[in-house]
Amino acid sequence: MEEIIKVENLCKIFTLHVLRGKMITGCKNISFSLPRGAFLGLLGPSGVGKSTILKCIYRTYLPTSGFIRYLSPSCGEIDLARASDYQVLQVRQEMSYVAQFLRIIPRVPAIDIVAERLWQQGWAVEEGRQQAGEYLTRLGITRKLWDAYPVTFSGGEQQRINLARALITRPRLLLLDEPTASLDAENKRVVLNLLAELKSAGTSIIGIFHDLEAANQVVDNILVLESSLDWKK
Amino acid sequence: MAIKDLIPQKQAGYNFAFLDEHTKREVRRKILKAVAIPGYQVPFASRELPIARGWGTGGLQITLSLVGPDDVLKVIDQGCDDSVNAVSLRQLVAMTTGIKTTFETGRATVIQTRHRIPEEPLTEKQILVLQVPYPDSLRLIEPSEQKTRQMHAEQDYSRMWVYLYEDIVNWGEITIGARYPVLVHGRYIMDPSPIPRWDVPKLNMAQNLYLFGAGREKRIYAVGPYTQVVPLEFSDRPFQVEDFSGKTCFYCGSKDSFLDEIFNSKTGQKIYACSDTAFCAQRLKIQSAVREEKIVGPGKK
Amino acid sequence: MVPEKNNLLLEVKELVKVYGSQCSYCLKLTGAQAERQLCPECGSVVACNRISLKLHAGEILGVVGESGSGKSTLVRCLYFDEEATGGEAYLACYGEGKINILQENAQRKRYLCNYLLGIVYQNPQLGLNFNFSCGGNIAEKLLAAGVRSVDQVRQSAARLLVKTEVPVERMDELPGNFSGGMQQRVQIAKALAHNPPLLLLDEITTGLDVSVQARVLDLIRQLQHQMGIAMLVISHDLGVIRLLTDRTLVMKNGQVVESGLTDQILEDPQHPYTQLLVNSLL
Repeated sequence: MEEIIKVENLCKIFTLHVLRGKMITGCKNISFSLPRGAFLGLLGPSGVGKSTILKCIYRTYLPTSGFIRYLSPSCGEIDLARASDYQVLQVRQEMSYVAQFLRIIPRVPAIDIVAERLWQQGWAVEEGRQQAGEYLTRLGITRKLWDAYPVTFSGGEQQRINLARALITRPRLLLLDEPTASLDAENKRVVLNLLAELKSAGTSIIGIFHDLEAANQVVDNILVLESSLDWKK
Repeated sequence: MAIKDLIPQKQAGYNFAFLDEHTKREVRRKILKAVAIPGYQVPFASRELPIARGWGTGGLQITLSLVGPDDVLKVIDQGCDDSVNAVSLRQLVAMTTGIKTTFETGRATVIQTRHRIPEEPLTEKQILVLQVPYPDSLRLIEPSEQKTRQMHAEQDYSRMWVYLYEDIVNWGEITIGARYPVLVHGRYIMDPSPIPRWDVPKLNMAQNLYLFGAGREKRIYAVGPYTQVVPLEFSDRPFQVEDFSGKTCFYCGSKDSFLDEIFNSKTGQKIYACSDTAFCAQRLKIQSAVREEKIVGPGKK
Repeated sequence: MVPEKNNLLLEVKELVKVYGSQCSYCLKLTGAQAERQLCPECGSVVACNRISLKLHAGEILGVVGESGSGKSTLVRCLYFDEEATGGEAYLACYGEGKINILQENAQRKRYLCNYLLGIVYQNPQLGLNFNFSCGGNIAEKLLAAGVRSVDQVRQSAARLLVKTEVPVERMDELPGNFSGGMQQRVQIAKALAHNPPLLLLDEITTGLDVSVQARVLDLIRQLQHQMGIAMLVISHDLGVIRLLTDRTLVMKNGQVVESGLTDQILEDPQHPYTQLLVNSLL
């Protein structure tokens, strides 16, 4: 099966100049590959470098060494560890990254935060809003919250806004950082269903999970990171 | 010293046309440059004259530099040949040169004027010299000479346009009466001197040469014959001249000349008369000739 | 917001701006490494020390750095408020991108400002003429770009004011009557009047209170969505940079010390100075 992404010997070491050049290891010698349309779960204790891996793939972190080979329809095979800023921006159009926390944009209502990514892709304003409304409804965000600013939302609501924003573009590759962490059982079920739906529509997914139970419902493979920074399948 | 005293002294050292030849040559050179760059203000070394700055010294220096023994001079002030200033200037030139002077527009080769352009169209053989108090239209919006020169150089006229726009917004029309800014040859914005709007269209594609002299401000500029001169206007707010509809000259009955309003405080009567007195006189002369012909009958003269 | 391939709009190469007598050591002895901008040999101030950048059409590029790092000088050189001492700048939509705009004559520079560039300054006093009404200020850009119809000018000005959320009925008032935030929005309307492909924003929210700041930033984001204008955003505020830009340059002592994706600059800064800057973020 064709691989959408192949990580080889990925290392991320932070050099903290403010602390006189102290080095901190984010992740070390990580290798895995993700077949197209598969769902890979990353598991392991906190601080083991799960988020670092996702951020390296999204290039929020600049990898120190190793390769991240990604097969893009627009750019062909491209090494995200070394790609130019513009290439990354290009490839990011095919990806979505869901952080643990919602980045709030002042004075922008929930529905516009979700629709914004569609607008960036050239959708008309109203159509974008309509689509955003559908996703918010499915994620259980009631209509009266759509025009509110998410600053005031609960953690769970913010997380669902964040998910809606990521899922709405139907990305080729979805990177999830604890998508179900602050959700109750009902909403967790809704989110997992949505992810399963997206996966069956062809999206490849890498997700970080804390609770194994949730992960087991959706993932094809699990990568467990130990504190020794080894991993096993 | 009275001006008439100049005549004996002329032989005793005064040059033809008062100015020395070097000065005249400099002025002529500046005139040539001005003609070559229509609408561009050429700086020149304005000389001391036996009249005060601000009384037409710019125009006078141009006139004195241009006239030769065969020229015929006409001097007008506000359209009138008889006003004090016109008379003084005419006498100064006549006494220091001995050239002929005239009131008739058609006979003159050089016409020095202030505030008016004669009604009678001028020809290629004539030069109109205008006296200019403020040579730069942009002074309305920018007090610094250095900056206005830069604005002219870069053709940066947007602020002038905003001024006109604001005028329309505030007053419903452009309120500039005299000194209406014009664009010369599609390049420089020029102050046509304080002529009424009525006279502005006469600058466009005229047969004659226009020379502008600002003595106090030390600038000469020019509009050559057959040069495009258009008043600044908006496409939906066209430039308009003064409206004299329904009014006629009290003396000659003219309906198509620039009229002055004359108010008689004793009778309370308001009459209108041609501002260009030579034009009015000419019409009266023709009218009386026609009348005479009618009374006496043709062929009996 | 994501730029398309190969649609470079602005390319700046090694832009230099030196205030003072300038000697052959100026550029070598100043900069981020030397941690100074004052040339120890001749005492000249090197505001911009060989700055290069690329900006694609429709992209927002951030320039961040502490005050005095040369950010504002950079945009002022690009808008010709200051004459660059050296370097090159090419605009794709001008002379097929083959003419160094920094070397053009004053009249051509005027054309560039009137037709292809827009700028919004930190201080509205710089960008607006306080003797003209707010409509007149917007009109100035339109008139400079050759519009000669009063009605058309007024319609366009009204449309821009609606877009920038300034009450249209106050169009004929002097900007001096307006609050700081409103003046800033009038300034933005003016900068947008002639539909420039490139907009330079110099610390546009500095000095505004937080709620007004948010409104102005929101406006910029909306305009970017709607009109797809490329922007160069200068700010010392990382929050502004994060909100508006995809890519960021970090400047220190007149030099670019780091450039990259904005989220990468903020979360994984490489240069010691950038790390310091990010760690100082509230």
